Amino acid sequence: MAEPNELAALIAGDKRAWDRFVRRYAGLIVTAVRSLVREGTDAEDLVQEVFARLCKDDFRLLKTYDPARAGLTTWLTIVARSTARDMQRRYRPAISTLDDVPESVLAVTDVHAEPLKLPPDLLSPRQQLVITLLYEREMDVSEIAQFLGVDPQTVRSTHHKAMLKLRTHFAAENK
Amino acid sequence: MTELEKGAELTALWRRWRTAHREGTRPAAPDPLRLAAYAEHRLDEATAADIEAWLAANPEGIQDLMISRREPDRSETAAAEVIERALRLVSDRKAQVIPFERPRRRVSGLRLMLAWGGMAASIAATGFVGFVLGSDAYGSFMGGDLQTQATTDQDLVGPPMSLFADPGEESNI
Repeated sequence: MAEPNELAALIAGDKRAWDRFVRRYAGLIVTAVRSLVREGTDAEDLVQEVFARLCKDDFRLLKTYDPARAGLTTWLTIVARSTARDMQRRYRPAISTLDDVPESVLAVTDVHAEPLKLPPDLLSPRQQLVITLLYEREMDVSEIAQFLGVDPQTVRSTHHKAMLKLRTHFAAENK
Repeated sequence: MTELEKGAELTALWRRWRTAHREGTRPAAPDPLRLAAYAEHRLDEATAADIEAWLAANPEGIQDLMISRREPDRSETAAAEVIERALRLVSDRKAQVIPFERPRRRVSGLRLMLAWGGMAASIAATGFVGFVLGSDAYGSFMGGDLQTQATTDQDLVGPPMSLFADPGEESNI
């Protein structure tokens, strides 16, 4: 099946093209949203929401897809997860018991505390992402290298430069 | 060695940076196509930097990218009910919209005249029947009033004079 032709037929309103599209990609979308399923919703509803978004307003979202810029399965997965997350936010229960709320949220904060300010260009976006992947996601260097499409040595070097900048910045701030 | 030494000092530095970073403004979410292009390493450095700034502030996006890179062949199979619901979202437009076509049958001159004549005759007949029924109804409605009027005149002026009455006979007046 030639994807561009198939998509063109689908967008033109060909019901059979839509049916083939659903049968072909339903499994991919189920897999994409599975880890976002929480209590109160199920994967079926999330999948339905994704398909509804794809065909909403005469396939407005599908029309934005450009095969020259990214693969359809990659794009669909990102659209599916973003849609599912939006749906989860919309249907999040407004009331939660005290036991569900972390103590840090309940704690009274000092409203007079000065928020820390960072110069906007202190770290480059790449340095920010590398330390987020390293410390927050706890990924190792090779995983990060694979994620960014660079070699592991670049990751180490980026991390080193980022920490150097932070050390210098906070040391100056403490003085 | 792939692992990196993350000592207590570096972790503390990162925590401090993260707290301050979250206080700042968050970059706007990129559109899905750009994110997909980033996932496939198809963006130039400048465009990739925008995405990376957003990812650093939105770690949930990192998970999305990692999942998007999985082999599609490893996807689950969707339940039949899920597929059926999705199929119903789009109806068959060709079946729904039936184009209007005028009948192509040719009507001859004589048949056209007959049709017009029949239509005119039916209009005339309907008008005539309406007129007759209307007249009858009007007559029966007005008849009572005329009778009353005649009686009143008679009471005032007496019986009408007859041409054949005897001239010597006294009038009742």
